[in-house]
Amino acid sequence: MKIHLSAILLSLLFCGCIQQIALNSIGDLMDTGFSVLNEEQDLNIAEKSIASDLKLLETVIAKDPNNTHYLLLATLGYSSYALGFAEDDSVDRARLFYLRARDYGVRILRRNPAYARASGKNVDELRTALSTFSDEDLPAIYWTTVAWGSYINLSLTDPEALADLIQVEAMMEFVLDRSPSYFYGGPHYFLGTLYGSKPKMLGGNPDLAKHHFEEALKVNGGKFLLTYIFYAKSVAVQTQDRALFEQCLTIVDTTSIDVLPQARLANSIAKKKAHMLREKIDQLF
Amino acid sequence: MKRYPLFTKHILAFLLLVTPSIVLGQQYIIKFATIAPEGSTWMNVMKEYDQAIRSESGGRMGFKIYPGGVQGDEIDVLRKIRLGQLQSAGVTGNGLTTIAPKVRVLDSPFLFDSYSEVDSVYSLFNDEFSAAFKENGFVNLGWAEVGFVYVFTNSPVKSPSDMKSVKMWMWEGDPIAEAAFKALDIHPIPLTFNDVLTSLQTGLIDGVYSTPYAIIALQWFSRLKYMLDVPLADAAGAVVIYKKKFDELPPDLQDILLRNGHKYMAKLTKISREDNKKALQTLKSKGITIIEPSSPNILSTYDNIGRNARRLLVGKLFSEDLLNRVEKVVYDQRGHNGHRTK
Repeated sequence: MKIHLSAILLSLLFCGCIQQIALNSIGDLMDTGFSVLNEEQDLNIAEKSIASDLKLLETVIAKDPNNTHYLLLATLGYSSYALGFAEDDSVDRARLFYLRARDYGVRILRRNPAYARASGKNVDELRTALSTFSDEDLPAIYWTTVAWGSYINLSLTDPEALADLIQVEAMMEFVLDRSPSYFYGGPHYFLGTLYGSKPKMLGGNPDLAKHHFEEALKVNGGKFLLTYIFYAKSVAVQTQDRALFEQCLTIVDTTSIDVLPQARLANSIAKKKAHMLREKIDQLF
Repeated sequence: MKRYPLFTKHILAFLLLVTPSIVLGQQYIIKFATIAPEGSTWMNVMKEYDQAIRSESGGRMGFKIYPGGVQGDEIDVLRKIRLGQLQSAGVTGNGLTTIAPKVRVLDSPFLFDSYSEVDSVYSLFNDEFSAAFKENGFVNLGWAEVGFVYVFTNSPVKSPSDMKSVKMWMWEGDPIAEAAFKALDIHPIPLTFNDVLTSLQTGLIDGVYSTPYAIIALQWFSRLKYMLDVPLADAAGAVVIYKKKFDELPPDLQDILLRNGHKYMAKLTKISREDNKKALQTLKSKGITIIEPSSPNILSTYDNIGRNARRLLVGKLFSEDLLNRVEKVVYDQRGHNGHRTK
């Protein structure tokens, strides 16, 4: 597929309206490509394919910079790549990709003048600005927030990055309010991770975090296995609940990746992470 | 069947060969807890410290690190140390009050105005303070300064009298803040740490004190507008180990632990100062207005308030003699009868 896409790109990219047709074709292929990738269970194939697809996607974006769909694909693509293939090996690479993902997402969001004015300012103004977005904008807000929050989580030595955490929290609360079940209960497990990773003294809330994880598991029926990984890494570690930690990992280990075919890749990544967490168990407890 | 004894012999020989290194590798594990989260400067340097002692001891000694407050706050951690569940911790404010109260002269109100003053006092009084830790059953492995603490408010505090209209937060049970605010003649609202952000949102309080880095990490800055550029205190911190555990270590390991402790905690202090400097720039870029005292008279007023506040702590945390000696070092270095002139 890569050769096929590259051939289209090289032959048609510089030819006026044909270029637009080509870009649309590539965009459709990219879209299908990402859906197919989500069903891939082999992590090696997935890693290589996502990496090359993302570079191709960036080429397309360079030629069609305002295309919301491509920008959104780049946001979720880079974010997913960082989560699945970078953050366990290289924090620096993961930060780079999360930041890139966030910046593509912010390009979509800043087209809303109210958001552009309020972003980075008072959080109350941001909340008001967020209310001007429609439901169609929720995926862009969600994926931008996931990338942004993950970037901050890996940037604790950078006050400039840390200062945006309250904005990120407000953005995900907005998505939770509008669409709590989006992406297998994503707003719930994101906020569960946020509240579950900090000690109470520093604003953590393990009870609220547990509530969010239980809600996420209700939404996805326990089939989106990354939920258990986030639960284990945050609440279980923070409350030093080794039994909960092991229970989460055991569920991930013993559940078939085919339990949710459209999220086979995410579930394969969850299994890889479960294995790595199990190896660290004596350091964590 | 006859092959088994031979096989067993081989296994035994193998075990005899490898067992000493396994035992040595796990001989002295020091369980250490801190509120600092994974990925923070604190934890990054702590991990370097751990690597250094593992390397120099040939794997005979190392930390098992519990970051992010998973073992509870400092008071919980110190209790667990006394129960033998942990052996070492990063301690600040309330933790220091518990194990070496006199050391809190280091973060007494309006004492320091520059890092050079801070460094002079730490250097000159190090032995005396280290003895204070030992008297209470702990060994100081290295100072890990938290940094200068400033007052942040929602209305501009141009003079000490402006402070009276501020609904000021006070960390519940913090004697330093209590003395400072008493000398400023204001009545703070005592709250736990985790109630502060909500209380800023509801308006129960509209003033707090913090280091620039911490106020960002805690997101309190998002509800505040002004920072008074007169340090309320320089928050002290240290990494300590329970003396019983320290005394169990062979002398060479004690030396490795102490030498690297001092080295890496000095590094941590240096980076923390840089982090706070960067945080101050971030606060400005996020719209926090920095209020410089408008005249030397106002600075002198804060100095006098500081002298009074520190004397409120005499007999509670430290002796008058110690306070006088510490102040003398600061004032001699500063000149101008001890008044700051910035």
